[in-house]
Amino acid sequence: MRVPSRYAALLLAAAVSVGAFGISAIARAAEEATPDKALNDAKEDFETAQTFFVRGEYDTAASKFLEAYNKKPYPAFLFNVAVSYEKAKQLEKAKEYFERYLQDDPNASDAAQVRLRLDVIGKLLAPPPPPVAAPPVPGAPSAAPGTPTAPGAPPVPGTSAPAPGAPIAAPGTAVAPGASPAPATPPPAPVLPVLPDIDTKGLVVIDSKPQGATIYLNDKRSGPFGKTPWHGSLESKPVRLILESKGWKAEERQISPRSDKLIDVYIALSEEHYLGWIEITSNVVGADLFIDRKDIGAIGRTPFTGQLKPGKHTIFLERFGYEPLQEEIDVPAGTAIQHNLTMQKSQAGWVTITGKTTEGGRLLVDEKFGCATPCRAQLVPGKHKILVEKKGFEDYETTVELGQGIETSIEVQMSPRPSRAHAVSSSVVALVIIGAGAYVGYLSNQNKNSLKSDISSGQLIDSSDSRFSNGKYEAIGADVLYGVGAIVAATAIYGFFEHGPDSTGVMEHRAITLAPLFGPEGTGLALGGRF
Amino acid sequence: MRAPARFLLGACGAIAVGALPAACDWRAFDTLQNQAPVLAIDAPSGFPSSSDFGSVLLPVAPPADGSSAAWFLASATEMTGLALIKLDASGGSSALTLTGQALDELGESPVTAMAEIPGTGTAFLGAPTLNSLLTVDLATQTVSAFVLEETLLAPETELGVGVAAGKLIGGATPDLVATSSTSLHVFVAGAVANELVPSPAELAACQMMALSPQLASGDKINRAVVIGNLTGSGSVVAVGTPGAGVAGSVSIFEATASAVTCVGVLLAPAVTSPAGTVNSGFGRALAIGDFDGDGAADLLVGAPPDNVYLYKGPLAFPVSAPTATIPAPSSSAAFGAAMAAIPLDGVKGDEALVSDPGASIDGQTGAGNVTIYTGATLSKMATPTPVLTDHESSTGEAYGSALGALPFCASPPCATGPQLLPLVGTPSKAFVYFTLGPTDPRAM
Repeated sequence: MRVPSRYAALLLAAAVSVGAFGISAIARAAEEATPDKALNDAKEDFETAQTFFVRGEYDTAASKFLEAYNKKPYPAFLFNVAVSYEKAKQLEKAKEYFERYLQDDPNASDAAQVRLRLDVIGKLLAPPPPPVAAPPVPGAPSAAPGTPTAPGAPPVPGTSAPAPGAPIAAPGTAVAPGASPAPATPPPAPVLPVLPDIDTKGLVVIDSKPQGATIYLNDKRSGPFGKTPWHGSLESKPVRLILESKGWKAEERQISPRSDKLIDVYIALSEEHYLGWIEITSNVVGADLFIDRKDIGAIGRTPFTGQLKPGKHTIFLERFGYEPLQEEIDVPAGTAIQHNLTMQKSQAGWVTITGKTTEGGRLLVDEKFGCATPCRAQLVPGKHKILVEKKGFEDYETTVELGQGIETSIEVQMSPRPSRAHAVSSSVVALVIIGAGAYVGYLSNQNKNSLKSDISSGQLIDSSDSRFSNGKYEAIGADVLYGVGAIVAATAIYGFFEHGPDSTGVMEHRAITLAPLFGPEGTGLALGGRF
Repeated sequence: MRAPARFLLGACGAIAVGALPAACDWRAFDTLQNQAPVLAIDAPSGFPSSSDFGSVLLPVAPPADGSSAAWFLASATEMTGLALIKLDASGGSSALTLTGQALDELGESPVTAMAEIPGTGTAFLGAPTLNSLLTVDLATQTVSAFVLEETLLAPETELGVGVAAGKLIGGATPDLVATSSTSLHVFVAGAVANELVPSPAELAACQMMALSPQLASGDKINRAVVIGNLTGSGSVVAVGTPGAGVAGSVSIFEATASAVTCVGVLLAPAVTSPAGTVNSGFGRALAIGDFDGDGAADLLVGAPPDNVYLYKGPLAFPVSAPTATIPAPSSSAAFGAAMAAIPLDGVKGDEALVSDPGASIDGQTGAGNVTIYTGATLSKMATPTPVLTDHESSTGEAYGSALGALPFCASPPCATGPQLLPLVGTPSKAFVYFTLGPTDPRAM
């Protein structure tokens, strides 16, 4: 589909989904503030926490994130608490809140990464291995009081043993108190895992009035994203929200999620009686749906729901392997109607030509133009002669036995055809040589005829007459020229017929089949291929 | 394949298919060449000079075994070089340059006079620079020394400047005749030991002059000597002596087993134009034939540059004037330098072929030609052509420097004898004319 058509499709989709935005009679959705006071408070705490987080006051940030969580228990808040503690080097707490995050949202999209992180934190929190004591050295100075002692000695309160939750000491620096005055051999530095950098999560909260509206992201062709109320994190890039609810006017919002923002989208949908609501289902799930026009592209796929201007509309359904379907529907204003359309399996077969080298070529089926390659041609089942031709390349020819509902896919590798320029130039040279031969032959003939005439008329010409030798040499010359011309002509002919390596094709037959399909949006038949 | 490619391919094919039949058969030219009415023969490989090949030619009767339809000898005139040219039944030619010790002994001396010894398959050669005579067996291509200067009865100059062979005495074996610049030698029955020379008195009686050193070199080669029954009472030998500033003459001798005597002399008729001119060329060339078809041998005497004279036989001496004078064409430069008698028109009697190697053809000076005369009065032959030329003549070609009658027998034994074909020489080439006679004798 070309870009303009895609835009047109989007526009139509918008027009269909959102309803006639430009119609003044339609009241726009009320830009109401979210009625959820707790959410507002939580949002305020979130933003405060982000401020502290940015300043590097991670403990405070963690507290604020926790307060936000206490007001609105979004798992993302717990995640941010954990991140803040991790930044504050309080790994125990970080571990605790990461674990709570997973408990709250076990199916979070980043659950696996969080678990890995917990493993690393666990390793970092594990006690270090005891150092190996070196044999005492006689005469060595005694250890000063309070200096590290040998393992096994009771720890001295207030010394270097890290308390749980304390900041992590430098690896290898902690030793047991009461160690021998002899210098202890420090254990080899353990290779500790490194925590990758982490940042807080942003949060997007989408709610509507009434709740239960279907959320689409960017367009409806990708299917429903969720239903309001919804909260979660989205990638940090602009996204268009589309909210639809039966009997309500669809709404759109453009948002730009960020990792340090809580975006609260609350849309109070306007009740809409002007538009009609259609539900298009089919026995074939995923069939392209066109409304009124096909040239602007499909506006959705089955099953499809959306609002539509009241009145008569033409519905087109298309799906490879099925006969195209066209149906007239009447959409009453403010009413929901449902159409279940049944598509018939196509009686045809298909030949699909693929391959990069086929671009710019054409497919001839039974010596008639099929399509411009690469392409797919629908054919009557049976035996067909397939020819793929492209200027400058060797033709690819084959014969296919096409069955009903069978798609024969041929990946064609076109082989370049040798240049005919040499053959053409050889032809010209051959023509010149043969022409010269003809002329010399003509001269020879003139001599021969002249000699014959003189002999028959009794002229006393002698055997040394120059015409004998001239004519003979001319005849031989003509023969030589003919011979050379013939050789050159043969070369030219060979050049015309010479071809490079054959174009090749790899053929696959695929049966187009139907299978029952059960999905969240409905049931139907799925199209599939058997190879 | 794209449409332009198909078009090009089609065009190539159409042109190829359309044009191929037009010129592929180069062998057709060989066939046509074999059918050419005139065979042109160049000096064979190994011959000393390609530009000194056809000025002295000797047609010889073809071998009885049929190995060749015709053959003739060609000799260079400025160095030693002798070639045997063979013609096959279809008119194709092959050539062989003769070698051997006898030729090597000539050094650079050329053989400038040749005569066939009838019925022997051999030829009699004269190399006047070394006063030497040789023979060559054509079948074996063996050249042998016949007479060397030191064996002569008397000191001589330019022995072999003219040679002839025939049954002069009347015996079973041909006799050989060789002239020097001053005398005549007859070798009875071809034996060196049987050498006869006319006495000074006989020489004087026949007014046989010495060849002038002032003669042009071309006038001294192949001095005219012929043997025939010119008097009706037996063979005689006629010796031509062109003059240098004086009129030429033809001396006629007869011989017995013991002596050579004078029969008579033909003096050059006076010429009047231009004023003060003497008929010095008289006797430069001689040819015996039956031109009027009466069965008697007639004598043609060439007197270049202006005339050829016919003396009808039998001659009865003293002969005061020729029977007929054949004037040279206006463009003539050496009319009568060589002559031959060949029956061509199918009518009884020979045609006279008279060459003019200095004739201008279409403005090409010295291109040369041969004119054919026929009938009792020797008028120009009307068909097929009165004048032979090299149809690709060139300036100075000297077509007609040599002229002879080449016996050709495609499939022996030829019942009526070999057909005589005109053999015309230039300094670089020899031409055999197959179609001037009543039939083309080649086996096609």
